[in-house]
Amino acid sequence: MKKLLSLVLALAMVFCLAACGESSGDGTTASASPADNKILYHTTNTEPYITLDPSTEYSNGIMVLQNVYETLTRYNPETGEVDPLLATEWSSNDDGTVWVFQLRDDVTFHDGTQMTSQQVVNSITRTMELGQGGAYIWDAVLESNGGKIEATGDYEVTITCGYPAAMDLITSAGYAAYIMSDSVIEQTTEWFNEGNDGGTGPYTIAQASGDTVVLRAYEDYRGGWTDDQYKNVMIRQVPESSARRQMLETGECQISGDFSATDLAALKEETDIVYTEQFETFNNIVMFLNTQTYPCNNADFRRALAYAFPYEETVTSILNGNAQQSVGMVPEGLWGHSDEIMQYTCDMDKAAEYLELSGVDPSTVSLTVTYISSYDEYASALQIFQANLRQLGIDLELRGMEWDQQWAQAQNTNPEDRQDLFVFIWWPDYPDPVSWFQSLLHSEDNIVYNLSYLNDPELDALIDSAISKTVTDREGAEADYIAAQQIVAENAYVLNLYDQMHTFVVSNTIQGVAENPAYSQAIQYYNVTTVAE
Amino acid sequence: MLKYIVKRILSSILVLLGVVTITFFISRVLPSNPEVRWAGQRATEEQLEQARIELGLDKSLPEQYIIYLGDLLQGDLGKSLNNHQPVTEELARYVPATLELVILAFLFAIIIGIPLGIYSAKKKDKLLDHCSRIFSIGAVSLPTFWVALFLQLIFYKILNMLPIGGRLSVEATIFSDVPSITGMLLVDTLLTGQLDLFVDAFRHILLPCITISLYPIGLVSRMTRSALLEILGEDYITAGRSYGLSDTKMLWKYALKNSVGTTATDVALSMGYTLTNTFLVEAIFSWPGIGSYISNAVTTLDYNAIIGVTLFGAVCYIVLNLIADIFVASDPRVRL
Repeated sequence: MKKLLSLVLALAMVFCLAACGESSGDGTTASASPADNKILYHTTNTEPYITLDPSTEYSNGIMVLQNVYETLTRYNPETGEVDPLLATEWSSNDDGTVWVFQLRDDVTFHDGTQMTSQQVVNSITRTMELGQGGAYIWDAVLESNGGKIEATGDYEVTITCGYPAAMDLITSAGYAAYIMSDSVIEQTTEWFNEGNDGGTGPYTIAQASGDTVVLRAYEDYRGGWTDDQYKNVMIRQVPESSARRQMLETGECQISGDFSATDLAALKEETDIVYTEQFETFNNIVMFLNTQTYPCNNADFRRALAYAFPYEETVTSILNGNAQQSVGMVPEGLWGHSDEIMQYTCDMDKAAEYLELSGVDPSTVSLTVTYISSYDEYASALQIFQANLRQLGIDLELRGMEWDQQWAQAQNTNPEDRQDLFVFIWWPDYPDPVSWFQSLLHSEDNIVYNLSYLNDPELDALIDSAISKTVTDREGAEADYIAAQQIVAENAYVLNLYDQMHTFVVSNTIQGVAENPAYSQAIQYYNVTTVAE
Repeated sequence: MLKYIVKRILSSILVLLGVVTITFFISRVLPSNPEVRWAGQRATEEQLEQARIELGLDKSLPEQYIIYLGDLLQGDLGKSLNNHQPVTEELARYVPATLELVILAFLFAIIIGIPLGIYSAKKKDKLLDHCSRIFSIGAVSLPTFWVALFLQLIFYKILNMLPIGGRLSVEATIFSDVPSITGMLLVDTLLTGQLDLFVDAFRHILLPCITISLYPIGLVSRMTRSALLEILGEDYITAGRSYGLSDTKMLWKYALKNSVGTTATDVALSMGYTLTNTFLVEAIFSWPGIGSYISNAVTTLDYNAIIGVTLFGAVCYIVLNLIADIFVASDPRVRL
């Protein structure tokens, strides 16, 4: 037995040592051309998808779907308008209830079939019928709301809305607006999750296994392929920031993001290997103040809180410049934003002044703020806020929770059992400010996202007016939204804390990495090319 | 013996039923909105109502429990609230990766820990014993995350000898026909004779495996040493020696055999524990195993997934414990 044990040990050691040597080919194909073998490797800190179903995915999967599927229109952050994608042009009637889209006639799906209007109708119908994720964006088209979608020509689709809707913007959404082949319409989410697809985009899904997705070039893509593009893309979850950093440093991966402050600072110094790209997003972090219960039902008390929040410290010290202080509800870059809207700064003197004006005795006040516990940056910012409020004699309890629990408490039928302050992130599902105003600020019978519990007729009127003008009078709508934001700021109904920015660290060997704020997290790999030597 | 095994299996089934019942009711009474998780954060009231019906939440809690048990008997653990995938399929996808990692780690532990314990006992209070004990204590007490990061720094960043994470290299993942028979890559690549891929997979599993194996190496080594020392002091060993049997023969043939029982029980329990507690190592080495699935399920209150994983953990623990008990019971000195 002793001899056998020694032999096993010796063999094991020899094998381990052999395995520690540098790897050779790893079984790669030898017949493919160098361009075909080139791999773009993108590491992420979260899983690259929850599902790969183009109708229902409503999360990280946008990273994949944006490269595999296409929509009728696409938001252009430089012009602030939508550009044609699968549609070539579109028009609507005067009140924005009937929209006619003309389609490209040179688009093929990955299964080789040609895209026609019927497939567009079937795709959108599938999404509406499944009714999950971002499907609500098609509400105006639902039959129950008086809408319909029909093929009115081989390459013409007519969408009739039950009420005026900005269909040109809706069709550009990053979720629930993808067009798919008829051959996959009947398939289930499970089928898509196995790594199957039916899109028209530049890539097909070659493999999907929870933490990894491999994309392969769709050779017949109408844009064609050049040698400096990547025909193989791997997106893999590498949760540890330090591991992602080392992989960039060794050149193993070429794109990554969401680094810890220490790792990002170190990578920024390594300019001979990598460079950083920072992009604005439409994601903003807001704090709702419970306007229905004491003491946040007092406008001056809310203003005191608004002046006590550490906006600048949050952006510079906690987020290391990966954000900018919000001005109004609508983030910079999206129509409806204005730099003229009033914004608070951290000013403890003014906070004390407004506290006195409010007549609230701080010693009798104990506030509760709820936030999603997994977001460390919220906790850090709120701890400084807590310290600032303590200077005013106000006690603030920080309650980190799971989203479900946070939201359940906010919807409690007894207003006294709800939180005083509620922090969360919001983003639009398509590039239209309506999302913030209709969902977060408009009065509602059953509380869903109006978590300041607002019931302000003046604000409601402005929002309704803006929505009705969106299609016919965009400037008028914008003016209404700006006026609405001014009311929100002056009354401190909601504190607009900061707009997120995304920073990618990119290898010096590639170029073309960009993130469109309307499709947050997604990189168009088709636009990424190698840097000429 | 057979009666003992049947009795143990029946009691194990009762334990599993208890685990399912407790986990089911705890997950249902926790404040959460599973229908929101299912239909999406911005779902309409109609969509949420539909979700409640699909999830069976429109029924009373006892009804839900009975339906769940019925489905469970058919191997249906329900669907994940996050991605709508059947939990059974998800477990089948993630478990083999963890199983492969933990089995190899424990093989390492046995191959390294037992000889270390034996030599330590043989050379009691000598330099080798002291070194072995220091190593064992260090292996048991070093924080896993520290060891993992340290190994990555040395073997990936500095020496560039081993990969930093994942189960296969990027090239192999993309260009090779990766076999999927058992889900355990080392086994599958051997079965299909793809030696290149086997070496690639082995290179990837080494660092996480070493990290996980450190604790059981220390444990096995210390358990073997103390069990052996106790046995080496017994009368039958003294008698054997007085008959002129060599120390080596007494150690390997008579003492070691009798010391294995205690170590086997500890190894089995430790393995059961490790199977569901690898999430930190899996996160650091980007290992797509059950650990990442657990942490995601818990943080998102995906209760079908939570029950599924709990059940898996309980089954592992019970089965391994049963095997260890049967192993010990096979010793004729043990009265059942």
